[in-house]
Amino acid sequence: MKTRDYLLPYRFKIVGAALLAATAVFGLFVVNLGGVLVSGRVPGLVGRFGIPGLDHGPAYEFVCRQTDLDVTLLVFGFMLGLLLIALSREKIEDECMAVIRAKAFSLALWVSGVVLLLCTLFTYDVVYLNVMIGNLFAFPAIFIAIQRVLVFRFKKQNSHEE
Amino acid sequence: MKNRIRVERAELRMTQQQLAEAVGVSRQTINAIEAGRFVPSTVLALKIARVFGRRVEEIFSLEETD
Repeated sequence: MKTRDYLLPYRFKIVGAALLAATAVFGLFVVNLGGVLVSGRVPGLVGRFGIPGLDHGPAYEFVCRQTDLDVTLLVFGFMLGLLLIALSREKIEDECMAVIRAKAFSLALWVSGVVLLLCTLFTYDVVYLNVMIGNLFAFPAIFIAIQRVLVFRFKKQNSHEE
Repeated sequence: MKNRIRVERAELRMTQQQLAEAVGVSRQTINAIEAGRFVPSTVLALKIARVFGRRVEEIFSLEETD
């Protein structure tokens, strides 16, 4: 009896790890070299706040414009890498792994939720904006970390044949 | 829930790895089930019972605390 689990094959975990590593290297270049490494003309939704003469009409518009793509690539690569790792099957995927995944999911939701609640209470202005940006990646990152710890403990606990 | 997997394996001289491959799970999962650390699904319990040629209630039984 098969039930759909919406998980990708194991090889996508390796692809995700490689993408995460490549994005980290690119991030180091961006930080160390400074300036704009990648730019291009791309379509996107932009805000019209603060533009003189544009008091009327919608606050946002869809335009094609030349822009810095470094941050776009970093966020895209980092998030896609995390998603591929988090949503891929284990090498041997069985019901024990499904239980561990469910445990890790609820624990990660608890941790990221409590951290966000505390940050909402105790951070303001730009610090809160940084918290929000960090929060984009927090849940999948925390989920992966907890899942790896639980899988490691499970394998260690059950490694010896009795 | 207690089980007789270890006894049944010993009678058939079967390793945990062989049982794991027969039912499509990892060896660690069989170890966890044998030790009572993990309760298998109905499907997995039926598969394990089928490997030993027994009915599922001959392999798995409830404890007082269940």
